[in-house]
Amino acid sequence: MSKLLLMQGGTETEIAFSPPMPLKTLLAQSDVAFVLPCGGRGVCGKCAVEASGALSEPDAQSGAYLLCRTTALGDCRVILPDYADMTIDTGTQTKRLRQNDSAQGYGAALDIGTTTLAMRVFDLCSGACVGEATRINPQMQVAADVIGRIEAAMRGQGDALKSMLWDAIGRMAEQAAPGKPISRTVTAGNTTMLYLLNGFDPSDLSKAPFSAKHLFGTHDRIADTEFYFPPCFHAFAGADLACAILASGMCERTRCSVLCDVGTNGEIALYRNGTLITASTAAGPALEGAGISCGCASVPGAIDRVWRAGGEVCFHTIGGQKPIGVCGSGLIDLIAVLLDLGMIDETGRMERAYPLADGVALLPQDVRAIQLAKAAICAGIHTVLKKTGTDASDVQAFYAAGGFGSRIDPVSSARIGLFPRALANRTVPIGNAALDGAGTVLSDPDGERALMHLREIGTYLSLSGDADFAEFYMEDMLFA
Amino acid sequence: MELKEISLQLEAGRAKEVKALVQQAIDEGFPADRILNEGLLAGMNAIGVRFRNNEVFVPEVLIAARAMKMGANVLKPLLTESGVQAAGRVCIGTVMGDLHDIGKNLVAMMMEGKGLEVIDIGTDVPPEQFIETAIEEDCQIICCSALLTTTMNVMGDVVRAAENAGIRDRVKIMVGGAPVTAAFAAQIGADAYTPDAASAAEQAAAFCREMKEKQAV
Repeated sequence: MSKLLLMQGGTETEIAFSPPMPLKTLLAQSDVAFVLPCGGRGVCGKCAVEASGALSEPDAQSGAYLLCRTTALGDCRVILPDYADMTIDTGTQTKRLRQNDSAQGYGAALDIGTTTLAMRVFDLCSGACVGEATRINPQMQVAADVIGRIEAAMRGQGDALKSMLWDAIGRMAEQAAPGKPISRTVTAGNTTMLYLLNGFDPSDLSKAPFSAKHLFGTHDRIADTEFYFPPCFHAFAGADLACAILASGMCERTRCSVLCDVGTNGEIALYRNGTLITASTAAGPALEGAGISCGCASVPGAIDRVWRAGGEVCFHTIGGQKPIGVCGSGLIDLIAVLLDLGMIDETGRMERAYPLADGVALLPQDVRAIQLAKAAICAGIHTVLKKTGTDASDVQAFYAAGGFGSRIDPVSSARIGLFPRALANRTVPIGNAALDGAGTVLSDPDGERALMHLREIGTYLSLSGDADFAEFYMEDMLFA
Repeated sequence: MELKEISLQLEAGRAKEVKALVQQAIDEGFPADRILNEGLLAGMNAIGVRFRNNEVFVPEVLIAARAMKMGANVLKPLLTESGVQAAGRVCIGTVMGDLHDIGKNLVAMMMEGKGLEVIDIGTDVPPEQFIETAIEEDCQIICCSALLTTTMNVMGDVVRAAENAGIRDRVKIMVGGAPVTAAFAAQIGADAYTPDAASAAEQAAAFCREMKEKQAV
């Protein structure tokens, strides 16, 4: 037997194994969080780790040990990035549900995201939140994006993907509310995640016309827990969007309102005169700091705010630590500042790298990657406005949902054109609204009916292949 | 003025300036085909080379293409009037089952930047529609895009449909998209795989030249 010493965020785990054994197999058996962005195909190089000891040869090109390609040949040591410290924003709105004297036991609100999972447990009688937990989606080991997961399920890994989620949910419940049996859950998530969680064959989500056979709005009983899966609008507009819309209360307003959940996919909803339009736009992971040379997740040391004061460019890091990179909200601030300073022109050209801190510099191609992402989001909103004949000035409230959407500065996002400028001063940050909405449904007897009503009035607008979208996408590429 | 100014402004993505300069060139009496070749296409060509060398990225290409489009709109009536022929005709689309079109649009723009006439038949295109369009529009090239491993096999159906329609000897079939490889292209019997928009445009232009020379012989 040999020993693998795993180090992650100050904790050490020792695993005994008989060599040779692929590292990813060993890690999958442990409880450590890890991601294989390309699903272990060895093409992206993003799972590089610090390692030493008896290991197979490192990657010939980069000289680094790739988690997905390295085999442990004997005693060795691997240092993993610390995902546990990642601030996964669970929002703050529904920390307490309405009191219900006739209810008893505990209930959980869940949001199954492609990247992260979030859970909040409530005492159903008092309505008090008794605990919460967040976790990296363990399916990240299989693929970083939704399509990669669908393909894996179609290749026969559906059962494995399903049990990964259930296993993680079990661990989160144990962490959030140890020893408290949960009798009821409301499980929000995008359509693909709900498919995989239920073990449904996702092949209908894999190609056009993307007509999802299952749109949920259903109940299920698993062991002693009742599960409610809120309704989805479409393959690309899921139960998470429905719950976020519910939490925002946008459909109770008399005037027009728009909601955008900014993530790898930007989900958009527009409510006006009793009709609800939903859409989804592929922004890619750049706004979360991925694929950006100086980018990083919102971990301690990430620069999350940049501003100008007295001719100086100032910044703030998460936890006040030494800067290690720039996360999404910081990138948007930084580009806004550099636009104001004239160091980036309206077409996105930046002459040379901009050093922000020791070892942290924004490169010209980073600006380009952000440009692509922000154009996709902004063009999505512009297209939805145009199709509904809505002038941006008619929009009463603009809800920015999601952990990331809530952290970004409205002035900076208007400056770089992440959202149409006219919406900026009407921005209402609403945090992880999907989780909040799921919580509301836990305690509100009318919640499920309200969600089903949203699906009845909601339609999905496909932006792919739309001529208006293609036109806006090009226009919104500029920093005008 | 010098026509090089147009190409420089186009490279910088300045659409308004390009439009104004094209108008100025027309007013100063430059022939339409020279404005097109030495102004617009030269600028787009320079962007294409820099794109392939990783010196510029997708946004610059899109912004430059937008500038070219605005310049070309000013020039179009004159080009039609003077009977300037396109270097070739291409029909392009994203295959059935797939709605991704950003890459496809980029390829179409780069091909226009090579002076080719591009007929864009959109997304979710069934194999027969590629063939019908190629016949009706007299295209030398069919260009297929797919972004999903679940849809890329439709490209093989396009090749077979061209064979069945008896036009395989008259059209070149080009394929591309994230999951597509040169090996896959060879396996389905396509004529070329190109990894990016700039090389796709160059390959298409080369095919058109080749076919014209053949015709001349």
